[in-house]
Amino acid sequence: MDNFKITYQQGDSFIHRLSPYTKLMIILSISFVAIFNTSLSVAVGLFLFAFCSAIFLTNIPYKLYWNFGKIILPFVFIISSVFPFFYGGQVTAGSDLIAISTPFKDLTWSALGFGALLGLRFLTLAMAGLTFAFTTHPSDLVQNFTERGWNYRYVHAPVLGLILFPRFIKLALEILLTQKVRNLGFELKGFRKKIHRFRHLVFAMLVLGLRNGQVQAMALDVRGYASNKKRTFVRNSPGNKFTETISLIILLLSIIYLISQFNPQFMQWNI
Amino acid sequence: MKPTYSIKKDFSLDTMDIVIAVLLGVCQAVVEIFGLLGFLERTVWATGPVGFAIYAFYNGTTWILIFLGAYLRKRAMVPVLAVAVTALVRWFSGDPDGPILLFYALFPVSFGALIFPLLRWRGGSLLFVLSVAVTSVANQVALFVGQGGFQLADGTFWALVSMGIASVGGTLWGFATWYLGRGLEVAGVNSVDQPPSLNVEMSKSSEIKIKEKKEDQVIEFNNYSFWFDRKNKKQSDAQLNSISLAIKKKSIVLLVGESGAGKSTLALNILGVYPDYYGGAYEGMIWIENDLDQLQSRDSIPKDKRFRNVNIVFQNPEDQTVCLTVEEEVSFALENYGLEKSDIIIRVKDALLWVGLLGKEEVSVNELSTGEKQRLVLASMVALRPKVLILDEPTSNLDPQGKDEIIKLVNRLRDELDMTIVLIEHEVDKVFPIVDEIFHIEHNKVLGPFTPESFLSEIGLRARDELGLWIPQASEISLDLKKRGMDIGDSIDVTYESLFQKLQAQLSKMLSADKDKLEPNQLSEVLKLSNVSTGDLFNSINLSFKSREMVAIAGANGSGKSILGSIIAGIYHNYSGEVFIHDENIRNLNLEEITNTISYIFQIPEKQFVRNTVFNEIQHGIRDKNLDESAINKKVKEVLELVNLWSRRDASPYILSHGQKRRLSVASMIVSKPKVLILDEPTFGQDFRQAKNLMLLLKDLAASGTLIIFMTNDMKIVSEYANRVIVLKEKVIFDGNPKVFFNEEKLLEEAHLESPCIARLNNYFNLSEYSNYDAVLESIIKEING
Repeated sequence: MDNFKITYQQGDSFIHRLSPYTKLMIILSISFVAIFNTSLSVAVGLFLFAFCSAIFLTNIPYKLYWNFGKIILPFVFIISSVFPFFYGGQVTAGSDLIAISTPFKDLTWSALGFGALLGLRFLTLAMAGLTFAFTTHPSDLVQNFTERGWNYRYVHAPVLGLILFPRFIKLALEILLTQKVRNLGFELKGFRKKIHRFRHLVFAMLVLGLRNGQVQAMALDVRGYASNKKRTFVRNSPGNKFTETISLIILLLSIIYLISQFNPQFMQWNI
Repeated sequence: MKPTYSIKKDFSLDTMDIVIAVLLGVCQAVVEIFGLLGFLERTVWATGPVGFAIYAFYNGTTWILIFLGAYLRKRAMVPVLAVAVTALVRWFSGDPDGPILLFYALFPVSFGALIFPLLRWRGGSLLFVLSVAVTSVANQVALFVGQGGFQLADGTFWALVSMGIASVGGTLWGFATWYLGRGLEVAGVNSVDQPPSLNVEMSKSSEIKIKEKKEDQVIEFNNYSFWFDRKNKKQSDAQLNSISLAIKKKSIVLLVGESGAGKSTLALNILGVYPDYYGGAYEGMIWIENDLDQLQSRDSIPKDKRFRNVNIVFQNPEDQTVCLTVEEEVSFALENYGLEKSDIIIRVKDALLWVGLLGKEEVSVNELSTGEKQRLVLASMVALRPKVLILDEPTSNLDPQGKDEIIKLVNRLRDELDMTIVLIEHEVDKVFPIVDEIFHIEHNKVLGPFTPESFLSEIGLRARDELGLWIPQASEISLDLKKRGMDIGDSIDVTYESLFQKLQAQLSKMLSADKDKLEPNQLSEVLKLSNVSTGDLFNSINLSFKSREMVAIAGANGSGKSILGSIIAGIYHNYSGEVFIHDENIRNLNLEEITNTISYIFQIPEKQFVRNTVFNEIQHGIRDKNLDESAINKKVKEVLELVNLWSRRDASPYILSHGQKRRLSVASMIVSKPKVLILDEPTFGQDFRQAKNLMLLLKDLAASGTLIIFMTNDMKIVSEYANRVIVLKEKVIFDGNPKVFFNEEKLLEEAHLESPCIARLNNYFNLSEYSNYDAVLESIIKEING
């Protein structure tokens, strides 16, 4: 269960002191560029930026990143090493010269670049995403966006999701246990049994979860869930106007960069 | 009136819509994380154009749970919010696919959701099918955009093929969404029957009606009736039928009635949650005291003001905690109502001090114990300070000491904060002494008010014997002794102390103490625990269990009762030591072999249902016994008749009442005639009649040779039905006859337990022939008479 607690780590680092809005704008910038960028050096630069920010600007032990990293890394490795074999000429970094010959296929520099870009993209997003999750208290996120005019009920919904998430995990584990105790699907074998149990798991989780939903909704309503026009926030949410403006400029610059990089000739749309 | 269409309603959600979207989003996150869907997707893409086409086909499954929200709530914005919740929950749980989802899921889902307002004029189930299909195709487009073009699918041809396949797959999964939605409706999940954007606006009277108070009442019902079904307003079908009652200021009022009588419905009608939020129709009037000390009609008080004056704490604290930390939870309502920050800080500290949670402000709500969560939800109300507070079974999850703390707190709310308390509670032993008035709900009518004394003298034992209600055991004994001709005065006792004083006065002599005799044990050993330890909960447990025993495992909340039961049942493995079933070490058996001997019944029965009807649920238990179809059906019928569920055989197990669910869970286990039956809190949340019937069923089972082990904190049940009690407090602090345990005051205190009245009297009179309630009464009469 401990793995499913929220990932926020209390702290007073430079990144902790940025407002959730600022961080989100910067992450959006990084993500836009990481997803659409085709330059290997920019991809490496972005990853290093995300990595250094995570390690040096958050005061969060690197071991904590590693706890998640060790789950992600094999997955990134598979993407980077297997995808080049299926490279079909997408926009990427590198030339069409053969770089490595393998028993299955000769891999070009562009194919390897394709794998490297995918891997770096994923690592960058993972580092940036974890930094945001580690340094942003979900309640600050709600407060920050509500104060910017967003509907409190909608912004609070993901926080409610974070509260319900461990409960759903617990419920799922209990249902899985029940299936074993009651030997659900004893008449089936192998994959069919697994599918049968998976279907029951999802259905039981939905029935039990959704039937409680009405009480949860009532509990929110009777406690004035965003019924008042003015809502007070007790938490002292971090942030200032200057860094928020800077983050907007960064977002703008990233979009300008992507537009400058856009070349329809390399995008394989011509039907 | 002709329905009007409003696109705004598709994009504005009420609280129920938001909660459903959140629940589905979370469910989706659980499925995606545990199903490693992100990994699967990328692996399938990597296998080339055919793999990509396969991905395009099954990708529609990803949207089933998301669009289920649209099926249940009929609003376009629900799936959009659900997918945003999935993305953020995954993100904040450390899954890097979370932020990626915001790119690859939010866009296609928003596109699919647009189908709703665009095709609203068509309506019907086609919408969900189309939405999933469109989303699947849009998802392919998003992938091509994000991954650099059609070459991701090895060229234009395969890219187009994948989009075509996505539309076909999406259509199929769309039908699956519709089918799943229907299944959930059958299983009792609430849904709206027509799109709110097409609803006919219901005109409601907001005219302010004021009434002068005759007495010091804070709430008044005038000839009030309520129906769940707005279209079916027959008086005979009313859930509340022509109710008139008045609740006095600064009083504690108890609502009693058998399970399903309508106690909670009445409470929610006071608040106006019914019918304002969750439908239904009403006639008559409810008056609530306003800030000017007048009675004002409920409907003319704005909801936010109404909830500040009248509020509720629901039965299960887990269903109503909505924030991450203790401090946020207590301040949530105050922040919503826009109180000053400085005022909120003072109120929160004060409320936490009241309930003994000061110092835990930053603790995560999910890390609190059940008792602490119960105190936390009370703290929210202490901070809000409504004039009237409704408490729906506030002590049902707690051990006796926890119950005591909450009841004392409730008493203080009235005495020190001048609150009026409306209490719904089965566990009445501790409540009767503090209650001012009782209302009895029977056949949808309300009888009363009674004082506790007049309730007991007018209704008396009929409450227990005919109406199936719990009454305080001291009163029960007092009434039973009177019934058997003993003169113990006119008044009926509600506490052990007053009953004891009367009986003591009548005693001609004090009896000398002698040691209790335990029954000679000539039964065969079924289970043995040798040096079982979990490290944190308990250590070095050595126990032996024999057939035909009725063994209760008791202890404070968190003492490890359920864990011990789970170890015996072979479903908890994080322990040292050995457990033997018929001399076979449980570690050498697989779960199937263990379940052939031991059946385990969970505290919440619905968590163990695995089939779609009551009949199939029982049938599942005997399906593998090599019986032919007719023999199985005959056996199922026999068992269902035994537990009085034959008439509900075609119903979904999920829509049964709580008592029926419990009976079904027991029936589905006893059908296979287990040698050992373990039950976690078997009488939890049940009225007297249901609890008694269930325990008698277990007693019969024990008599036929089954070892029954049940975990409970209900000492009345232990005293009446168990012939052995095992008490846990880091180790086994007692193992033996309950009668002996109930005489051990130090052990009782150590284990946070309390001796029930009947056991205390039994011990006082030193009645060695203890067997059950009736036997004790007979013995007392015999002793006193001489």
